[in-house]
Amino acid sequence: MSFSPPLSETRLDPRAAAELVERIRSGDRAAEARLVEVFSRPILMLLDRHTSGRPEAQDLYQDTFRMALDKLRRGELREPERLAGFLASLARNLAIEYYRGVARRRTEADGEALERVASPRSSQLGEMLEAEKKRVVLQLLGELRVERDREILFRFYLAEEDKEIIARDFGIDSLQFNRILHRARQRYKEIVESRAGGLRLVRSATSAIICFLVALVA
Amino acid sequence: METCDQQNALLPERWVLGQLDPPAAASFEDHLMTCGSCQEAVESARGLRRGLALVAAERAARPVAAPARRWLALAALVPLAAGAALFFRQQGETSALRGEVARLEAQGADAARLAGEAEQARQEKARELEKRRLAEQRGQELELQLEETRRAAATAPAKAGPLVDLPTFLLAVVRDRPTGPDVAIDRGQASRGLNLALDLPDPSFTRFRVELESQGKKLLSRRGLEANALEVLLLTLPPDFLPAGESQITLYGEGPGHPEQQLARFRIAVAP
Repeated sequence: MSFSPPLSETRLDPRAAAELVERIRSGDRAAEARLVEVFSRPILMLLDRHTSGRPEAQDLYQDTFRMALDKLRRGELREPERLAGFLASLARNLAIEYYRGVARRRTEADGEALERVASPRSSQLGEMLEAEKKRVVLQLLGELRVERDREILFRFYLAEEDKEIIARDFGIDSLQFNRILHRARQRYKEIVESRAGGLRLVRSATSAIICFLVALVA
Repeated sequence: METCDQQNALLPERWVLGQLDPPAAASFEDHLMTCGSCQEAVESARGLRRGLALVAAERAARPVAAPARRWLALAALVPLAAGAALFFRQQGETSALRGEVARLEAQGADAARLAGEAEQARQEKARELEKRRLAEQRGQELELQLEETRRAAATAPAKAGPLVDLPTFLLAVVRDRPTGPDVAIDRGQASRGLNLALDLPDPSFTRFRVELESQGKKLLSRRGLEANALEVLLLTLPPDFLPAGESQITLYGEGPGHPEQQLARFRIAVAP
């Protein structure tokens, strides 16, 4: 799956969660919208992970919120302060149920079901996002001054080697290893944000020029 | 945004890579629901992983073309170098002949004829030199091509043959199997490699993890494997991958969100 919703304030303490549940139960539509706003991003992440990025995650995402809202409107959540755990569990169970269903259909040689679980064809937007990820990583790798750090990233993220083995090979301890990975991840985020910021600036400048031209013509 | 304590143990990375056991994964997922910092960490880890995969794929494709380009550039330099050498040699020849002509002119009546002959001889010699230069250039080009071919042959991986007709050994769970290996393999049978087809005892799992061990040493560990159309997990192993003696394969069922479970353990005996 390729999109993620805009970052919103997702911290919701148990008391606020209980209040939100109560508002939904009493039919407050704004509270329902708030629920989707707060939990949209983590639910997508969770489903993306459990479906290995397959497009079914989009359907499961819709189902998760539909079922959650049904249950919350009927007041079926017994511990409202555990709203986050309830949603995570619901999304997980839907993913499990979906794949169990696929597995059952598969043993019955249901060709249509098999086709549904096939990898999606990459879209143009997907290709653009992929190319952007590559550019960001190339910049990050270029900025790393130590060859060791580059190799650690490849071995940990791609070869999926055990952290202990990699750390032993390079003669570093667990803390150093964590720091290298943490720094790389932080830098990746910064590069992504700076590139997005640059893009926003270009868009703003373009909008300003268009407004100016329109004003001139008018 | 503040860094969350969960990130000290690389939980976001390990969750993205599927390295957490099911209870730890579920616990992290509950936490992820309300932790913006961990959500960002997961997003960055996923992007970083994908970007690294794309870069690695691009690099893997690149080394094939680079040496060839270098050799082509060297080959292109050869005619230039040879041309320059010829130019300087001809310059030397010309000045020597001019000196000769001058001396003959000074000697008297046949000087003009001798100069003509000398000019003819110079041209003859220039043609001969040109022929030699072309031959040398061709020789050098051939030598370069030969060297390039030798290098390519030395560095190129052995040509892989199609993986057809490999012997396939079925490993199935059988109740009350008498003691002894589940399958015995003669190395002679598997000189080109072999397939192990693991029968899946529990269809409710969609993914599997396999570990192959021999004499206490882990030879192979793969997660996220899926069954093929025949509902078996097919492992293709290269020749000599399995050492002589007894090896063990342990099969686990995994995810999504399902607690990982050991499904079967098979013993393989390989005769030397």
